[in-house]
Amino acid sequence: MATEALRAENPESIEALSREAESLKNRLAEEKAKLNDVDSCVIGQRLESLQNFNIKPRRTLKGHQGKVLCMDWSSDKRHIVSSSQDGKMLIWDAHTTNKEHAITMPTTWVMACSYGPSGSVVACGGLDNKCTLYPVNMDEDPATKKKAVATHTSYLSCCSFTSSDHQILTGSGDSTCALWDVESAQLIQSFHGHAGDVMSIDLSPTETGNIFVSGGCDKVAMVWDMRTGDCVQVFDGHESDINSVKFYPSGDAFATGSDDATCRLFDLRADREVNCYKKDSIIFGCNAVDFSMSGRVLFGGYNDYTVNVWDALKGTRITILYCHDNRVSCLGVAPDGTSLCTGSWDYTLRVWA
Amino acid sequence: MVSESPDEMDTCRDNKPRHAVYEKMEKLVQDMQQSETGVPVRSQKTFRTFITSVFTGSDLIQWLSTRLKLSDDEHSEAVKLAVLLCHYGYIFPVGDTKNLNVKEDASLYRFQKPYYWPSQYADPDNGSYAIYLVKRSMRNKQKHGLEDHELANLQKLETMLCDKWDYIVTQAKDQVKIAKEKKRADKALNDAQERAFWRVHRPPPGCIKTLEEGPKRNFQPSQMAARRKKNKDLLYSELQYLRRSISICRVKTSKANENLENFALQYFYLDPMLTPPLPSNPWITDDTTFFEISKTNTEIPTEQTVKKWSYSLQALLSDPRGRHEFKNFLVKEYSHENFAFWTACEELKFCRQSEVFDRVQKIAEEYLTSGSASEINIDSRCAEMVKQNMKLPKPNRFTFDSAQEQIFSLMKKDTYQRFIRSEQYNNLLANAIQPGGKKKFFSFGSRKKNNMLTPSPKPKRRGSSGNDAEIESATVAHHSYSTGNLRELDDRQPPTMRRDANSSDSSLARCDTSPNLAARLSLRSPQESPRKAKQLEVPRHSSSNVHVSEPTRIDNSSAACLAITVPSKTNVVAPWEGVD
Repeated sequence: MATEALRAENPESIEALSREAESLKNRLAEEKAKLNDVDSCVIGQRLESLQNFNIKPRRTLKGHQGKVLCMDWSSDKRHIVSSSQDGKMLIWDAHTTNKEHAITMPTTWVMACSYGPSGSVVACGGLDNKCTLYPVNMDEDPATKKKAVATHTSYLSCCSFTSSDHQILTGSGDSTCALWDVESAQLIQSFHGHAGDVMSIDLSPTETGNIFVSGGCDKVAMVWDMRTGDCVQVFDGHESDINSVKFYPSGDAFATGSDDATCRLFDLRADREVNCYKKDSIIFGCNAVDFSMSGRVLFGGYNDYTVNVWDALKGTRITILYCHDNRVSCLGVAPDGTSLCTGSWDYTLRVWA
Repeated sequence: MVSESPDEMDTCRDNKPRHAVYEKMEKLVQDMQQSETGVPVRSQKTFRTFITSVFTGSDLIQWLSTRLKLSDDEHSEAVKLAVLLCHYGYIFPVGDTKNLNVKEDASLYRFQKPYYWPSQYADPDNGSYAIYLVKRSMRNKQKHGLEDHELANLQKLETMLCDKWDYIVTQAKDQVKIAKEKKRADKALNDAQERAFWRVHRPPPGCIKTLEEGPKRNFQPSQMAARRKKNKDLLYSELQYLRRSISICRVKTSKANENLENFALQYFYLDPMLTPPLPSNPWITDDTTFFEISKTNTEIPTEQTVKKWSYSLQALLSDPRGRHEFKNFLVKEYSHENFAFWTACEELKFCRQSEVFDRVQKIAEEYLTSGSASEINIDSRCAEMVKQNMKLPKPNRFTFDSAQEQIFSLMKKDTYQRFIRSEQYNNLLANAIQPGGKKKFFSFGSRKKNNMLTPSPKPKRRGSSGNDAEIESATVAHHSYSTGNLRELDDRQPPTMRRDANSSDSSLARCDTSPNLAARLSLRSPQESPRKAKQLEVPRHSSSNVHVSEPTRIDNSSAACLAITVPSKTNVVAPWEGVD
């Protein structure tokens, strides 16, 4: 570290370092090219195409007075938390469409909300630059027991609990991600590396993963080691902001949704893009992606008010879901895979099955 | 502005956040306006007036369909896109100033002039809006009269902009005067375009504001470029990353693809979006049985759940009940300490910060002190690493990481393999809840799919002899071959085992000719009461792995069937049957 500090004082160092980075990049590209033995269009060729895929809207959740910006499923597979532009966070029993809690935040644009694994706590945040936790019990008003856990220097764009209620991972417009201890509200680990706003994070579904992926306005997705805070992999290819990242259920790959109107699939072990989901007729950006339980189906929520349903392996579009009257801002597949929930700027959420 | 460097481009884009979509829409609209290849534009005479340069909704949609090479199934996409072009103000309906919609009929539309495109004139100010409203209020009431919401807006603006109001009125007067000198047709077109523009930018209450954006990004493109260039911290971490990533181990793309495919195939039957769940999807039928039986705290797991445990150790451990059963098994085997250690480490990683110290000490004491009752067996290198970690001033969540990893792979290779082959596991599988009945199981179409999509490792994997070799590759490619494993092992097992292996990957559907039959299966007494035995047909394909790679598939109906003798009287009763 000491030698690095010395080099940092050298006025030429930036150039020298940039040169080194450049040559390393070239070498890396060569290394990767060696292993690229198939074209991405070959993927999934041995698979039968999916027939009779048919999901319909089954529930409409009405109650928000502003644009719905984020949603998350509870581990009980039927409750949903959603947050909106007017600063409200609602907790629904989506199956009965009843609202069970309404929490008013002291901010507008609540862009992130997340259910704790136990189902007894929710976290949210937005333009207040904070991530606040609210306990959810039937008998008490959640607002009286709220707890601010994380603070960033810009808006909170996403948050997610780890495998327990005791830790929360946040992503922010200040270009960093951070892991926080809930009880003490202390920073456990921060993750620096994005050059622009972090828009989305997703934790690896594998128990021993210790990694998460983040996507941001600098058009790259980064894979992080939660233990050390180091970025272990960088994936580029998108031509505009990445709005959403989501792990493939096996944890070996992840999908991204971007303002460049494409979704992509990046494989961690091949260390490259393995699929790209696009069509001439899709010109609006994608805000949210999620996989069905087997990973075969990829849902993308777009600014053109629709959800495009992709065969994640073949790269073909299976169908389009029309139902919202404004941008689809968020979506999520239920933990048991039985349904898909979409949230939109038209103030509603819908559950599809 | 002849040639712009990328940086300057970025600076230009700072104020146009959604440039990408505007560029794409504008490209389309420009193509539409090509005289030869574009949308057919004509002039139409209605009963009194002559309307110039209009096109019909059906022509527009037809053009989009052709241009974007949309199939008949995708026709709705062209309609949707036409509506969006209208919402974003690139085209507007003639005559209708209220609705922004495109109908696929002879209704007429016009192009907006580029001056009013969102990329050119993204955020018009209130001053311009006021001038526009004043202008209209000065003109013929019948043609240009203000709507209610516009009147309200005008009043609000008058108070808001009272200091500039004189200027606004003069401006409006001048513009009206200039407009009067224009040709009638031009004037009408201009009026319509201006009105359409404000319809998009100041929509009536309750209508979508398409041009509304989310909160501004914190870092503008130019700032990002600057950060990348000048920020030494970022540069260092980039270099660090690059140096490391030169040496990391990568798999071939084809291999990676295969792994993804195998996973999707393996979980095909567990994915409710692809295989209708049993007894029914609670969101479709309102019947919440599926929620109830798949709860993790119910007494008896479903067959699906138990089968999933055999896919991989990962799948087993991610299910609380799976963990519980695994633990029970290990307790019986007197090798419980490995699992307990692994669990303790996992809990340590995600515990409260305040508990870390105590937990680290406790784990070290319980599992790593030589001579303790539940000491785990790790190699010396690993033990040394842990020892080093323990010496660090602050206890860490990841102190035992290397040991935990080693124990995990040990469990994967050894105890897990024994667990899924154990009598306990088979009993669990036999006792598991099998929701649904005969009708659902043999739903039309699903059989065919099953046949095609049986998870199947490549044939060559069958040849690999050692179980450990499989697992070696599985540490790189976890999940992928666990069913293959099972099957291979099962081939050497007595025939009663085969039934489980078959059903474990060819969906529950096929074993059930009668709803309760499978639940009544007794694995222990195949010879019992042969007279009452029923025959259960199980398609054989799932015990052979080759046909997925074969160009012509064996038709399921003609496939050879394996007959299993099943006694009807058993000691195993499904839970819902009660005592009958």
